[in-house]
Order: sequence, then C-alpha cells, then structure tokens
Amino acid sequence: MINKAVEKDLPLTEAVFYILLAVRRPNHGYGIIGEVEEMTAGRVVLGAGTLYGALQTLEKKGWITVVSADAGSRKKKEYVITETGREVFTAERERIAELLKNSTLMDAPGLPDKLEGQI
Amino acid sequence: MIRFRLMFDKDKEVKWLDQMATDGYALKNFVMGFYSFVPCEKGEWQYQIDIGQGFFSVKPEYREFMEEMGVEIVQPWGPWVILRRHREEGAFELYSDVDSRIEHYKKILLLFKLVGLMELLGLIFSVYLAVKASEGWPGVFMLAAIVCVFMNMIVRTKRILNGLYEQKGETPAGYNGRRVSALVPVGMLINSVNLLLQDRLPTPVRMVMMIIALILILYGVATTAAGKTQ
Repeated sequence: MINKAVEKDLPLTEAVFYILLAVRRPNHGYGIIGEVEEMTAGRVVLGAGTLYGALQTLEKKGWITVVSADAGSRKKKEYVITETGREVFTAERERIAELLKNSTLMDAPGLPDKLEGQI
Repeated sequence: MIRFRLMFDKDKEVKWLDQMATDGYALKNFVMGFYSFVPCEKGEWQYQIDIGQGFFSVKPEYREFMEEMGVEIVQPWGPWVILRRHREEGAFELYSDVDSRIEHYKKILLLFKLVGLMELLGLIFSVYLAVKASEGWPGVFMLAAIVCVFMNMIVRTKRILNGLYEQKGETPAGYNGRRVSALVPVGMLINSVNLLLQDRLPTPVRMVMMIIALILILYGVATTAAGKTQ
C-alpha cells in the first residue's frame, strides 16, 4: 500500500531515483555522478546542470540534507538522504515492484479466445 | 584575438565557441558581443551556456559545485553563464535528461518573452515619439529589427520545448508558430542606416538602398506568410 502523502510525488524521474540511491550514505556531487554511472554501466551519466538542479529541488523538498564536511581549508559539500526521502524512495520502490509483478502477465499463455483472431 | 558577434541563440553560440576551441582559440572574456580569445591547444575546451540564478553573477554554491565537477565559469553575462571544461574529462553536457532540459528551456523562453515584451513596448513608444516629432525613425526600424529577432527566438525555443514534451510522451498542444524570415530585420536595419546617413549619401545611393531594403522586407514578409522559413 503506497503512502498517500508521498503518492503525489511519484513516479520519480530516473535521475532523482538514482540520486536518492547514491546519497543513501553521505556523498558529494562528483561521487554521485560516478556512482550512478557505475550502477547503470554507463547508461545514465548525470549532467552537471541536471544534478545541480535536482539537488537544489530535493533539498528544498526536504528529501536530502547537506552535511557540510569542511575538512581543513577544502570544504566539500556532501549530501545525505533524510527520513522523508527514504519514505518517498520506499513508496517508489513499491510502485516499481507492482509494475514488475504485473509485467509477468505478459508471459502468461493464452489470450481470451475472442481476441486471438484480431492480433 | 577579438571577434564581434551578436548571438541570440545559445545553442549556436556553444557550437561556434566549440569550433573556435577546436581551431585553437579559447574564449576568455565576453563583453557586449565582443568575444576575446586566447590561444589554446586545439580542442582543449568544451563550452556550455547555462542560465543561472543571478544577474551578472553566480551564487557561491553554484561556482563551488561547478568547480568540483571540473567546470570553469568563464563569465556570467546578464542571466547567462558561460562555462567550459577540459575535453579530456569526457563529453560536457549540462542537462542529461528530458525533464531538466524542459526546465532549462522554460527558463530561456520566459527570459525571451520578458525581453521581447520590453522591446515591443519600447518600439511602440518610439513610434509614438517619431510620429510626434517626425524624426527618430532610424531608431524605430532598429527596434523593429530587434523585435523580429526576439520573436524568432521565442518561436525557436517553443519548438525545442515541444520536441522535448513529445519525447517525454506528452502530446503538446499543436504549435504552428512561424519564424520571421531573417530578411525582414536585415531590410529594416538597412533602412535605418539609410535614414541615419540622410545628409551624407548622394540621393541615387539612398534611392538604391531604400529599394533594396524594401525588396528585402517585402520578400521576407512574403516567405514568412508562405511558411517557407523553418
């Protein structure tokens, strides 16, 4: 059962889905791009503008938060998923699971007789 | 090396800057149509143009973020930001999916609409002044030419957006906006120059220029009406 409160935010775009996944533990911009690229075997390579826009939106929505890791003079912004972010992700996961489960219907043999002639 | 160009289409501008970099000239500075280049290794840089959140400036977090990505901010100009990255770091694309591209072009469309509207109001006002004082017509023609250019940019941007919506699987409302033929603003500019040089040019020259300008404008309007400009 998908949580009603987060339902309006679904489905997530592929970019947002993978960004949330990449910040399950603190991660910085470059790390997110690299991890997503690796997970998808090079299929999804996030553009700098796409990632910047998405991170800003996600932060505004409260799905991720910044954990400033200013080690010494060189500070690198790191992002990590929040509780709300996890809820949304879980809801999306359930939605996708439903898709996947229903997709197996395609393998089931036998069309209704009346349709068989038409296809 | 300095080159002067008036570019309104950032996609064409990026293409040109990349071509210059391929030829060994890297853009270093931009001021009002003047692009200054310094020699670089052939194909060293790849350029991109973003539309930022600031005006003639970028937010510190934007700069930091881009720097971390290996992206150098060449220069903010108005709402635009010129960016570049070393080619060896791979393909440089700012927006990698349809959704973020739509957001990007929506911002550009809004910008063109706002500036276009201001130009249009300026044009109406300058016509009013010119009629009242029976002078100032060169300015009117110049503004009219600029309005044409902006109308074209709005049409072009809408076309791009429609293509993106289609790609996303949404059927956009039918859009059959037409671009004004480039001949119209060119004719208007010639007319404007002609009026400006009223006292300096001999009458036959002015007559010829006037006729050329009129032919260009009329031919441009005709091809636009016939829908031949894509």
